[in-house]
Amino acid sequence: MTEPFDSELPLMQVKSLGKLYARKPRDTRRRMSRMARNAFWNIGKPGTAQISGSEFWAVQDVSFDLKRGEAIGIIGLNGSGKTTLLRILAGQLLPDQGEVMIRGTSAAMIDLQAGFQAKASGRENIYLRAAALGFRRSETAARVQEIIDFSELEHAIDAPLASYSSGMKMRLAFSVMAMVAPEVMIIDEVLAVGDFRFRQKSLARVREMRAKSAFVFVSHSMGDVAKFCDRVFVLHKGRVYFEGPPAEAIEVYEALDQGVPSKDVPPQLEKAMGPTYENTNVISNVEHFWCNAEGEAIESVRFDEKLQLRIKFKSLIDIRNLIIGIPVWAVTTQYVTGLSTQITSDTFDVQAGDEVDLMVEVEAGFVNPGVVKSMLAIVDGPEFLFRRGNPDLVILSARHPTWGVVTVPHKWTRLDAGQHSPGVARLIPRR
Amino acid sequence: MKIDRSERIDERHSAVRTYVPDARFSATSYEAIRALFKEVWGYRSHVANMFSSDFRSSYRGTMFGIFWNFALPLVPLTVYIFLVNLRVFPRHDGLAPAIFIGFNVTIWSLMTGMITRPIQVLKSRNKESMKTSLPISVSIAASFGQLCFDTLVRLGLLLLMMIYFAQWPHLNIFGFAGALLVGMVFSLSLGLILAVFNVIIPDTSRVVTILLQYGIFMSGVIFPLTSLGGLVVLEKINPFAAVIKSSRDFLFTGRHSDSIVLLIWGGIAFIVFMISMRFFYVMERRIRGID
Repeated sequence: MTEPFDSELPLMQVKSLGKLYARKPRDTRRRMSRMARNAFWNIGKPGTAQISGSEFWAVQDVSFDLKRGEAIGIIGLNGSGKTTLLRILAGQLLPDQGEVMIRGTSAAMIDLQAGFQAKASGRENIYLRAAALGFRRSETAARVQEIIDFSELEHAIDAPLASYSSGMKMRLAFSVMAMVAPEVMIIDEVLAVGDFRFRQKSLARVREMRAKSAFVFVSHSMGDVAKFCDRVFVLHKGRVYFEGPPAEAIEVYEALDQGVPSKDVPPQLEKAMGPTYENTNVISNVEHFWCNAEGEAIESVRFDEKLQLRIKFKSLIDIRNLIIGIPVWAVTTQYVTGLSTQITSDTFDVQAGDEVDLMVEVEAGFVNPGVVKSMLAIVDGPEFLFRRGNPDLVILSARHPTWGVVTVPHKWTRLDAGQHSPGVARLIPRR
Repeated sequence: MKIDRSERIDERHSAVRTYVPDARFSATSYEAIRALFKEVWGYRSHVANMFSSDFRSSYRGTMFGIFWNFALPLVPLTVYIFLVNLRVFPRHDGLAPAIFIGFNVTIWSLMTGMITRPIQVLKSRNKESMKTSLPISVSIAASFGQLCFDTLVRLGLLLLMMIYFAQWPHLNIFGFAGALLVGMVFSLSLGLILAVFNVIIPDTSRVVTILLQYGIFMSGVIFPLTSLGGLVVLEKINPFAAVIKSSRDFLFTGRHSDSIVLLIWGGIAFIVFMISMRFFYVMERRIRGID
C-alpha cells in the first residue's frame, strides 16, 4: 500500500480544501446526526457538503503543494481560518471538501496543552509527547537528555507540568518535536510565547531542519514570517485572499489589519484615489458593481475568471462626448492601471432621459490576487459628471505563483532544437 | 478487499496519508476492527503512559497514597456485602452471600464500566482530542487499564473470601472465559455506540446512568431473579443477567443449565460488535471538538 517514495514529489498536497462550521450547535448536531445515521446503517457517504442553517465555510477552496525544504507561511486576521486549516493539515479534523495528502512523517505544534498531562512531570510528558508522535519509549529514552538540554529545563524537568509557565511548556513541546524531526512540521503561533532568545534558538533549529523537512508556519509575528517563509498565504474569511512572496503578503495582511477591504479606505489610499464628485443635476440613479456572467453583484472572483463591472445610470442631459474611466489601485496605494472608453475607442450616444446600462470586461488572469480598489469616473469631454469608488473586488488565489500587482500575457518559445512542452496558456487571453 | 484510501498509514517513516471528507466510509467492519486494533497497538506506549499517569495522579498528594487505588474499587463491593450480611437483601442458597454478591458486583462493574468509560472518555477528552492527532480509541483503551485494575482488585478480594468461606470453585475455564467474553464484547460495543451518540445527543449519558441504576436490580446482581416471580424471564432477555449467571455457573459449578441463551447473546454480541466498531471508526474523527 505504500507509494514509492519520490523525493521530487511534494511532501504535502492540498487540493480545494474546505471545512464547514456552524454558529449554532443545533446545526452541527443535525449534520452529525445525519452522518451518524448513514455510518450506523452503512447507507451512504457524506458526499458534497451543502451549507444549511447557520453553517459557514471556515476554510474554503485552499490549494497548495509543499515541497521538501520549503516553508509556507499562513497569516490572517483572527477568525480567518488559520488554525482550522492547520488542524486539518495535521489530521486532527477531517475536511468537508477537498483533500490533503502527506508523504512522510508529520508533527503539529498547534496547542501547547495537547498531548500533555498536567499532573505528570516534564520528563514523563516528554515520553507522552514522543509517543503521540509515534516514538517508542526506548527510542525516546535514547534522546531524552538531548531534549532536556535543548529545552533548558533541567532544573524543572521532574516537577509537574502544571507548575510550568506557558513559555516552559512551549520549550518542552518544541524540544520534543525538534528532536523527533518529522518531514512535515506544522507550527502554530505557539512559538510566540517563548522568550526572544529561545525563539531565535528555535528558529535557528528549524532552519537547520529545512534540508530534510518542510514547514507550514502560522504566526502573527511578521518579522518571523518574512525571515522564515518562502511563500505566504493570506487567509481572509476562510479563503486564500493572497498568495505570494512574504513582503507582498505582509503588505496585504497589514492592509487587512487596517480595515481594508471594509468600507473604510486607509487615508493614504484615499489620498491616492483622489476626490469623489457627483452632479445630480446631470446624472442620477447611478449603480456600479462587479458582477458575474449573469450580471449579479459579486464580492470576489477567481484569478482565472474574467472581471466584469456593470454601470447603470440615468442621464438628464445629452452627453456629447461620453468617456467612462475606471482607475484601479492596489491596496498598497499603487496605481495599477486604468480602464477607459478612450483606450478602446468606444463611443456611446447618450440622450437626455436615457437609462444607460453598460458592462466592462477584463480578461481573466491579468490582475493578481488581492483587493482591487477602483473608481468609476463618468466624464463628458473635460467635465466630470460623476466620480466615486466602486465596491471592492477580491481576486482570489491563483493556482500558480504570481508576482507584483498584475500578470501580463506572455508565452515561452524555445529557439534551439530541444524539446518543449508548451504549458497551459492560462495567461494568454482567451478569445 | 476494498482499501480505504484515507487510511494508508503504513510504516511510520514512509507513511502516505490522505485526509478526505469521506474518509473511512468505505471501510468494512473487518477493516475497521483491524485498523482500530492497529491504532491502539501503534500507540501502546501512550496507552501505558496514560494509564500510569492516570493511576498515579489519582492518588498523588494524598496521605495514604496508592492504598486508595486498592480501597476505592472495593467500596461498592463491601457495601453490598455488608447489606447482605445485615439481611437487607435476601440470601442465595448454594453460595455464601458475600461470594455471590461479590462475584456479581465484580462482573456487573466490569460490564457497565465498559459501557460508561467510552462515554466518559469521549465526553471529557473530545475537545482535547481535536487539538491532537491522538486517536480517541487510545484514550478509551487507556481508561480500560484502570477498569482492568479495579476488576483484578475485586477478584482478589473475592479470592480471599473464597478461601475464608472454603467455597472452592469448579472452574470450567472455556465456559467462564466464553461467558465473560460475550459480556465484555457486548458491553464494549454498546459503550462505543452510546459514546458517539452522547456527543451528538448529550441526554444519552443521563439515560444510561438511570437505566444502569435500575438495571443492577434487574440483572440478578444483588439477588437472584428467581426471587422476583414473573421477572425471572429477565434471566434470558437481559444480557447482563445472562452473562452474570453463566459466568457464575461456569466458575462455581463448572456447568451451565442454559447454554442456548448464552449462545444467542454471543451471536447478538458479535453482530453488535461488528456494527459498533465500524460505526466508531467512521465517526471518531467527525465528532472531534463537538461540545
